Amino acid sequence: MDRAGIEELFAYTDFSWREHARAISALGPKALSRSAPGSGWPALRNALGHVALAYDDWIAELTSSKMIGLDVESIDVWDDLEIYRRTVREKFRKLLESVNDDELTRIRTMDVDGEPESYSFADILANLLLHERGHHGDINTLFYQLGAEAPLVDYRFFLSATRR
Amino acid sequence: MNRAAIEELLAFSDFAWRQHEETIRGLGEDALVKPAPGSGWPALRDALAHVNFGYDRWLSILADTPLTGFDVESVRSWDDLESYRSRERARFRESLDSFSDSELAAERPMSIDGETLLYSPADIFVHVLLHERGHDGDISTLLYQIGMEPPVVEYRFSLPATPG
Repeated sequence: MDRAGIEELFAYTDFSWREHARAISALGPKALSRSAPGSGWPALRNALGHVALAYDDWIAELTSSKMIGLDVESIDVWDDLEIYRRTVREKFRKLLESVNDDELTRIRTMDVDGEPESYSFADILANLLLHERGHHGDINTLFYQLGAEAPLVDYRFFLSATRR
Repeated sequence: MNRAAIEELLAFSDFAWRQHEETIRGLGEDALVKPAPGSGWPALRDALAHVNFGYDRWLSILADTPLTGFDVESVRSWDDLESYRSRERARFRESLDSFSDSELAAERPMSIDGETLLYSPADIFVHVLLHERGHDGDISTLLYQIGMEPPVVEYRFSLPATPG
């Protein structure tokens, strides 16, 4: 995917994150850690923490740096998650802006779970953003299990909210 | 998003669909209709049919034609679902190919749920493909609820193999 596509997905996932933040804050102070055992995730904080951890993990890999890390079980309030998310997304942004278009799409060998694999930075950055989008369905299920309505985070609502 | 990015998302969604097909066919045909009451969806077929209904709905809006329609309750096998999927994906391909690059990016008025809204054809194509991606998480949680391991449907695995 090219830079414009990545930028679009980055902005879209910012929109969806804000919508989830708004909806979760309306559920009360313990919503993030309230048990939702039928989804495969213990609670909302685990799914949302997983999404944010993926940025941390991959950006550390791409920049040969250390992960910041997150103790998901210690998350009690939205800000615990928000601060981490913002930090790892800033690292994403910094990496995206640090490479030109050729460097962004150049295939390079990287160590993935101990195996050498060939991807471009663009491949991995797009993977991260689509990874986040893929987990929106998990978050919908968690909302359902908490007896709440999931927010509308479809792409066209992002366009409506940001374009006009 | 431009045509190349849409083509990538289209290929990725085909990969994801095939991964789900492989997993779900392996569970026997009953898996599609097995109740999964904690997910918000009655069963897997409902979520999978909804994804394809997304194509039907939005391609019909784009072309200003009636929905082709599909009876979800009639789905008993993956092949039943596949026939709807194939038809809608063929419509998507035909529609995408019918627009020049400038037409693809040009906003036009569309009648959506009684409102006239401005979107480009590219907006609609991306919306449909990200709608599908958003429901991958629902499919994962549905598989979890019927006691099965969801397949890995990450974008990076859908990319063509590159010599390392």
